[in-house]
Amino acid sequence: MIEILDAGFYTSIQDQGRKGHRHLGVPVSGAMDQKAFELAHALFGEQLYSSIIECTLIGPKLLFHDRCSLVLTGAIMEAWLNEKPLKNNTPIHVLAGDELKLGRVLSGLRTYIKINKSLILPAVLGSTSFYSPITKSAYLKSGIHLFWIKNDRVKEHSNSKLRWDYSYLTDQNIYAEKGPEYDLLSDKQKKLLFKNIFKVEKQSRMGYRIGSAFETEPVSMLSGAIRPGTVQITPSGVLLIAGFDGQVTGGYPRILQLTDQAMNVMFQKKEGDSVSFNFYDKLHQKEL
Amino acid sequence: MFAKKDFIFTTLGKTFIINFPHQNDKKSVLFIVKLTDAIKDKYVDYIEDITTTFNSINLFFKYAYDSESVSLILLEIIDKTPSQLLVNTKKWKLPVCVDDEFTKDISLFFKGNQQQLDLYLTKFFDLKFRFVFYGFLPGFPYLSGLPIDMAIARKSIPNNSTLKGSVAIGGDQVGIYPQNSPGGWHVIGNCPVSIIDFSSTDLSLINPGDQVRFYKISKPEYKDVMETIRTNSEHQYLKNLTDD
Repeated sequence: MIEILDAGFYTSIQDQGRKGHRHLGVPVSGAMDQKAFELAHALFGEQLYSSIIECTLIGPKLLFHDRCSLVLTGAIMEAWLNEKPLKNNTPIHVLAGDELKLGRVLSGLRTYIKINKSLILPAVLGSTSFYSPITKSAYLKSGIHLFWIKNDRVKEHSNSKLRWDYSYLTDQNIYAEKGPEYDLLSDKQKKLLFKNIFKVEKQSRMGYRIGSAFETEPVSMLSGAIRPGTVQITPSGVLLIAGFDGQVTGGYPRILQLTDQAMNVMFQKKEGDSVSFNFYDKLHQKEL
Repeated sequence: MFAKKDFIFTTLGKTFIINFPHQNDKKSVLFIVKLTDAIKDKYVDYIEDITTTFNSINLFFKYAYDSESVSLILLEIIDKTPSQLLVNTKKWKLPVCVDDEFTKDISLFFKGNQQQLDLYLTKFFDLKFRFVFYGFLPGFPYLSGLPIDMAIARKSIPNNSTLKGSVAIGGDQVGIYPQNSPGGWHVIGNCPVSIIDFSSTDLSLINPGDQVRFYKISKPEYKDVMETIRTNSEHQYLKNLTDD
């Protein structure tokens, strides 16, 4: 059992997501950094995805009441097990009474804590991912306890290390394909879109808001489908990038769609970080 | 109704989009319902989700796909889908309270002119709408059927909080807010019954193509409905609101 001594800035449970319910207006949810989510499972040799803890900006303080193994992936945060500093991507044994403390983020934004046990959590529409009001709360609160299935057949972590490239946490380049309304932009606007450097103004699991240098003609369009990584542009020129808790439909022109890999890069950015857009050549499957 | 050339294909990453002109008549709406079902049957193993909007069907593929071969198969399915068909649709009538506390938005829109407001609401309660799809928020229904002369443009600055149950107009679309949320549509009243219940096994009783009418209730009646729902379930109550 894990006791949440301090929940941190914004800490939630995420799994593979609530796929198959968009037709009811329900977003998919799930880990914002899918690559880190997959890595956490791979480090325990797990094929099936389970519920893990997503931490944002400032991590939580957890007290373990039973033994297990854990690993950290994604953003690099200050991290200690008892007083001993912890490294990402390195599974470690935890004993009853051990305290895990995550502090401020040093590189990236979102860190994942995975244990080699199945957490007991209510699933709504097939997923334990937090998304209010589909689930009771949007984030973990201090003082609560997370239980896991006892006598669960668990894999002990192997000592084999995976080669891992952290550069995506600091990469400014965001690769994207054209969206359905890309051609509503003028040639000049298209040039600026790929030349300018943009700043993240605001971010949450719902999406990112970044400022642009140009305004667009307001277009009256019917709401269209949105998915994580869809970039819409508002008449005032604000770029809205849908996150995993983002709305399933939107009414602004969809000018770009981030690639899966670009979403991992984008969703590790925090307020004030810079990004620039690049074309992804779909035909040749490469980042130009 | 649609001609084959009305369907235009685009992509949004791994989502394949079929666009068509927005048409409001029952036959067209039901054709899209049938077409969506046929596409879903064909691609069920390859997609995460399939959604519709007023003018699109969206296939959320799990993996990268070849858009040319998908286009060819879709054209075939469009060809095969009969335009004359029987789809069982239901009719619903939903209660709406237009007590002063729920009509501030629309009253402001008519600059406090009570006569204009009453006329608008009277016309509204005579209309028959069609449920087309859920979007925006979990369980937010998009209804078509508002005549263009009754359309009200979205607010230029959205308000921070639109109340759960708000029946609202955005352009010529009508929706019902399933939760408190920021929103830019003009609220005309409040419907105390949620039409989707995420804790129920049959999540949505209302399906695309179904007809929806609204009827006026007083504040005491509104409170009664709220109380009945609190002691029973939303769906139990909704089941009694058919309009056949």
